[in-house]
Formats: sequence, structure tokens, C-alpha cells
Amino acid sequence: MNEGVQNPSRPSSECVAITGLGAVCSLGNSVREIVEAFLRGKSASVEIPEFGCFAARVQNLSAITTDVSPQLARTMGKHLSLLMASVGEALGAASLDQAMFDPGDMGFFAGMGMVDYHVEDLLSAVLRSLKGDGEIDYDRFFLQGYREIYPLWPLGMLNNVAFCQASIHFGLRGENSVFCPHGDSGVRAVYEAACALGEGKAKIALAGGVSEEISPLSLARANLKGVIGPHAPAAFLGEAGAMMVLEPFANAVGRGASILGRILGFGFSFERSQDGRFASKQAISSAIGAALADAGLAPAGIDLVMLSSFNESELEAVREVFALQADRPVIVAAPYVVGDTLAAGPVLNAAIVLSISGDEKLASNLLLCSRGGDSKAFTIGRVLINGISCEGGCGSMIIEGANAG
Amino acid sequence: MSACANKRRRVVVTGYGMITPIGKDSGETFENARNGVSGIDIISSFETKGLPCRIGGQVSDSWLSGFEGKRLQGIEKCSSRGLKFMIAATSEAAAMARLDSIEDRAMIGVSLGYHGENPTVEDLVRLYRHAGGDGWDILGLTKEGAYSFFNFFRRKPDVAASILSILFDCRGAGFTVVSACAAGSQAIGEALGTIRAGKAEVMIAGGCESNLNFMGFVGFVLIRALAEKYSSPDKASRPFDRKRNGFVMSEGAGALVLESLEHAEARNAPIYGEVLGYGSSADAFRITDIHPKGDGAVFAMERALADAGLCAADIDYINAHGTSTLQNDQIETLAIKRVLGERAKLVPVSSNKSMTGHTIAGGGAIEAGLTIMGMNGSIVLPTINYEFPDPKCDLDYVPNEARPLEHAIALSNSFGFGGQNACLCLGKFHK
Repeated sequence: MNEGVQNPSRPSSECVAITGLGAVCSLGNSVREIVEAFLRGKSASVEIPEFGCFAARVQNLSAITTDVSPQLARTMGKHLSLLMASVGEALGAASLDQAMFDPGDMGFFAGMGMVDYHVEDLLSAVLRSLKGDGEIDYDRFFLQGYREIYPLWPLGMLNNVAFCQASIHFGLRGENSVFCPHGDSGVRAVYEAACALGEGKAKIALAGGVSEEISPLSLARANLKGVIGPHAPAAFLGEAGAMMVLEPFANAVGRGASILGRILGFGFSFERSQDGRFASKQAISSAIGAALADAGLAPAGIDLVMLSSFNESELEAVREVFALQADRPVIVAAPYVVGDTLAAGPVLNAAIVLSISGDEKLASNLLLCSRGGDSKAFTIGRVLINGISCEGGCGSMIIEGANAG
Repeated sequence: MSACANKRRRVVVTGYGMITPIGKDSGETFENARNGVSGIDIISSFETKGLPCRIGGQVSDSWLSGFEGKRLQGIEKCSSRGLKFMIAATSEAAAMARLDSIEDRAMIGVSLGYHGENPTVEDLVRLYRHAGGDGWDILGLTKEGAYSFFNFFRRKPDVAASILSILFDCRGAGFTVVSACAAGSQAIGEALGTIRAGKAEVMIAGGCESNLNFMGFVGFVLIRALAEKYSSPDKASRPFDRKRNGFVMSEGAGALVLESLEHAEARNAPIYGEVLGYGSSADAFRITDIHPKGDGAVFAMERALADAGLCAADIDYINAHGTSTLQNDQIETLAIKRVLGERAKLVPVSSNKSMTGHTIAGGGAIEAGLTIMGMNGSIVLPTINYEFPDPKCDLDYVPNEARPLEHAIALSNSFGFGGQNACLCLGKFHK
């Protein structure tokens, strides 16, 4: 496993350990459920006829109990339940509960997909202001109608509100930040968490992301941007939430935590493609190269690449960086079964790949570069995970499974 | 992984810029703030009849016209008003820092606090026409232009960071922070960490916002967060004063160019200050209320001090969040007392929002810039409209007049709706 290592590996004691994982997506409402469905390679996407596209929704999430009013909870929408479910599972998997840590030592970093206000919170103001001919009476709107607007509707436009509610629910009072809204923000969240741990600003940190809720507005936005639709015929949006618990390696060992993996490196870059619909191939390559350098690895040191998107530029960049002369690294495109899960994507990918046991095989339709037959079993070694934004931001992170050589 | 290393890499400020209700750039803003000029007036940018609050801090459109001509060719339609402010502020900061002279653009990143543009009343009317009982006529909606490509673009916060990266040719890490009123300071704090970790040599960091439109404004009206009782608009924003009764919404942007000290020195860049530390926290209390003992604010300030390797005794000045709401100003006072202890009443604390109003994500960056200018000019900016002392707000708020004072280390607070808090520790540059 040392092939491709440019610098001697740093001792594990200096690195950040992954000690808990939590995720929900269209394939299931726990990491294990997701992995089992993922290995079968079957998508849970369904057609959305009114939009002429497919989408993969999270189903049957347990009801979330919070101390906020139902209307306020509704304002936070599915963001809240996706985030709370994944945080809860990750903390449980790490055997952490609120009594075990000082809330001020618990960092919390997330990439949060776009949120949209609820149109029904606003439309009653319009209805109240209509004239007999169906046109709006602006005088009536500005003098009276506006009072029909639900006062807290702007919260529906703030990406951080569900995050703050999760902080309240789980008592997380440490260093924090919220980024938005695409895959690169999910990588950024993990990076900031690792920094907070590395600098001693947090003793434990949660990091991950949440997708967008599938809604008329999110589908229209993705369609107009070309994330789905005619410019990306195979692509579809997916709902997901995914979080990981990170700790300094020594701390994790000290408290007897199960170590699921460790973080090796990060890379970031920015450049839009010429058509403005995605990041440029050069920027994606640059982020991957920076992550490899940060981890002290050559391309040959990577066993598996988890793609972020359906976009051809990303695959081309990976092909270019890794030269793909042999049957490695294995390239996996999770979006083909879970959809484009935006900010949730990178940690969802990490949760999946770190939870596949050695004798399990990936379905062939997930493999974009395999000369090994219809399906593939592999040892989780070093994994490169991308998070790419259609606005040009690129993030790459490299993790390593606990049992990697 | 380099994230664990380089913590003590020094990060300096090589440029700053701003556009605010009291100035088209940092020089004009600082000079007006030094003279206690208020930027608050009756709102003219949208219809306010019938609203209990009709005032705000507007940025003059004429200040943007030069940038619209020069910078926005081809992207005008997808540029929100907030982004236009940020372009103006960044242009000033970039010119000061001579950003164009840096060859390796991959080592320049962008960290922006911003929340995107609000829908318009006209959007609501169009939405109404296309919302039926059977769902949405999205094609009709799109054809009519209710949610055209450009509306979507302006609504997405990250588009602003993306356009900023393109305009200023920044090819390094680019990201958008969305933590409400703390976003501008958090963006600077995250940029600090990015440079310390060696992920960038230079970062454009700051925040922008424009909520002076009907839909952006009315939400705050309805939750009764805005000042409704005032003798005249310029008297409405009165942080720490007993007769304060809400904040005054305004608009603007602030930008800093942050740079590793070695990179700045190697290219002989001007150095105006140093970002010594950064701390963040969550109240984890209630979405709509601040922690009553100010725990979150205390944690953020203490963490910024610890990150800077300083203690409370080292602080010469605090640029307060100071929104002019009953709750914030009282609790921020309490938090400052908890952090500074017996020195609390000896350290000047002032709120720029008394003059600029509250620019939401822009606030932290504007205030960081003004704090650095104050240190370099040996001036502490005032809190204007301080007339009636509040027994629960009993610190030295630098009332009404700027004060000459040599000072070298300051904290700048920003506390966000929902309970996210940020504090920057800023220093006068010493070799």
C-alpha cells in the first residue's frame, strides 16, 4: 500500500480520525441501509412528470422532535430532518452523547444546500390584495395585504437556520460555520472541522452536509442551470444528509472509540468552464492535485475515486490525473444511484465507502473504470472524494479506511 | 495534512475597501464616521407606506454607476445589488493591495459572507398565477420570466463568490459563508484559517448584503426587530442608549485582502494591519433569542483571544456588534464584562451601526475595516445617538464623539440570527 507515497506517512497520532458516520438518502435512512442498497446499484429515483425529470427523495424519515413551533419547523423544511437524522446517527455511531463532552468543545461545520421560502407563506398576501379582475391592487397590498405574510418566512431563505436548530437540539456550542450550497461546500466543512481539531479549537467536530429538498423551485433552479435537463440527460437531484464525527487520532484511541478511517488531505480550486455550467477540467485537476500533495501521495497511492457529479469534465480530469494505465484507481459514480446530492455528497460518499466491508462487491453500473468484470470487490484503502460546484468551486479530500495498509 | 500545521503563520491585511450608507469608499466612510454622520434616512428605494418603519441606510446608486460600467459588462443581469456592492468594495481593496501584480492566481481565494437576493413583490404576483391546486406550471412560470435564469442566479449566494472570483481572477479556494449577521466576520475568520494552513497565500474576504427592498424588509418589520420609534431617521440607530428600540436595516459591503506575511513582504505589499485571531461559537439556545447570559458571545471572544495567544488584559478596544436592539446591546454588554472582568469599564466599546445601520453579512467586514483604520489613525470611532444611559449598559461606549487614542489590539464582534457568533482579534501591524 506504500506505492505512490511521496512522503513518509505521518504517524496516525497526528491525524484526524473518523469515529462516527450518519447518513440518509433515497436509498435508506441509515448508513447500513444505504450501503446495502448501494451495493445493488439500484437507484431509488422516481419520475417527476410535471418537470419531465427524475429525482430521488428521502422517504419515511422518522418524525423529528424539536422545541420549536410546527410552523417554524416547517419553515426549515426537510433541511432540518435530513440534518438532524444524520447528526443523530453519527453521534450514536461514535458512542457520544451530550453528557460525554463539553458542548463548547464540540465543533460543527456543514455545507447546506439551497433552501427556498415557502411560497404559501407569502401568497396569502397577494390573495388578500386582488382586485375583481384578478390583478393585484398594490395599494391594498402595501397597506394591508403584507400583514398576511408569515413573519418568519425569511428564515426559509437562510441556509443556516436548520443548522442552528440542530446546534440547539444536540447542544453543540463550539466552533462552527455554514457554507453553501454545492459539493465543494461539503468538502470545505470537513476541512474546517479538521483545522479546528488540528489547531486545538475543538476536541470533537461534526462535519458534513445537506442537499436541497426536492421541490418545484429546486428542480426549476437545477433545470435552468443545466444541472439536470437537456444539458445533463442522465442527471437527477437527490435528497440526502450526511455527517461524520471527527476527532484527533490520539483522543479517539484514548477513549476507546471505533476508528472508521482517517483524513489525509484536502485540495481546493476555482474556475468555471467556458460554458459556465460547471467547474473547468483544469480546476478539478488542480484541486485533486492539491489534495494529493497535501496527503503526501502520488496518484498511484489512491485506490478509489468517488466522483461528485454526472459531468464529463470531472471524469476527464480524473482520467488525466490518474493516467488510468492499470485497473486502479477504481472510479465510482454514486450520483448514478443517489442523484446529485450537492453539499451532502462528499460525506455521503465517505459514509458509503467506509462502511463497505471487504467481501462486498460494487455493482458494475457504478464503476466507470473497471477491467475486472461485472462487479468488483476491493479493500478500502485510500479514497479520493470530490465535491464540485456548477459555479466553479472544486474541493477534493482524501480519506483512508481504518484497515488500509 | 497541512491543516494541523502552520497555525502561527502570520496573516496581514494588505488592502481594505467598503461601500456603506455613509461613504462610497473606506476613506469617505471613515471620515464621516469620525464626524458622527448618520447614513440613515427615509427609504426611497421601495414603497414603505403603511409600514411601521420607513427608514434605512441606503447606498447611493450613483456610487455604483462607475463599477457597473467598468466591471459588470456581460454579467449585469445576474449580478444582485449586494454583489455590486461587493465588487465596489473589493475593487478598492484590490487596488490598495495591488492584487493585479500577483502572478500565481491559484494562490488567491475568495471567502464571502452573503445570502443572495430576495424575491420581489412582482415575483409573488407571478408565482400566484402559476400556483394551482394541481401543482406548479413551471414551464409557464419560466417562460413568463417569473423565475428566469438570472433570478435564480441572484438568489444563490455562491454565485456572488463565483462572479467575484472571475472578475478578480482568483483561482484558489472559493467559498460562501451563510451565517446571517455573523457571515462577514466568519468569512474573514475562515480566510484566516485558509492562509494559515497554507491553502492560499492571499484571500479576498468580506461580506455584502442588500435587504432594502420590500420583501427583504417586511420580514424584519413583521417580527418587530426594526426601530419604529424615532424623532428623526438619523436618531433611530442608538446602540446601548436607553431609548433604543430596534435596529435599522441598511445595505453595503466590506472587503479585506488578507495575505500571509511572508507573501506580502516578498512582493513589498503595503501592510495595514494584522488578523491575530478568530473565534466562533453557537448559542445553542433558541432560534429567535440570544442566550440570556451571553454564553455564545463570551465563547467567541474568548476563543478569538486564545487563538491570538492574548488575554483580556491585552485588549485596547472593542468594535461591538451593537445593533440597537434591547436584547443584543444588554447581553453584549454582559458578555464583554464576563470576558474583560474588572477592565470592562476601562476599555472603549463602540458601535459603527449607530451611523451605518445594520448591513447584515456586510457588517463584520465593514467594521473590521473601520477598526483597522482606527488603529492606524489612532482614533476610536464613536457610538452616536447615545443620550440616555441605560443602567444595564454601563460601559464606555465612546458616546457621540470620536476619541483620539493610541490602540493596537481590538476585538470586533458579530452575532448572527439563529445563534452563530464570530469574533475577530485585529492588531496594528508590528514587524
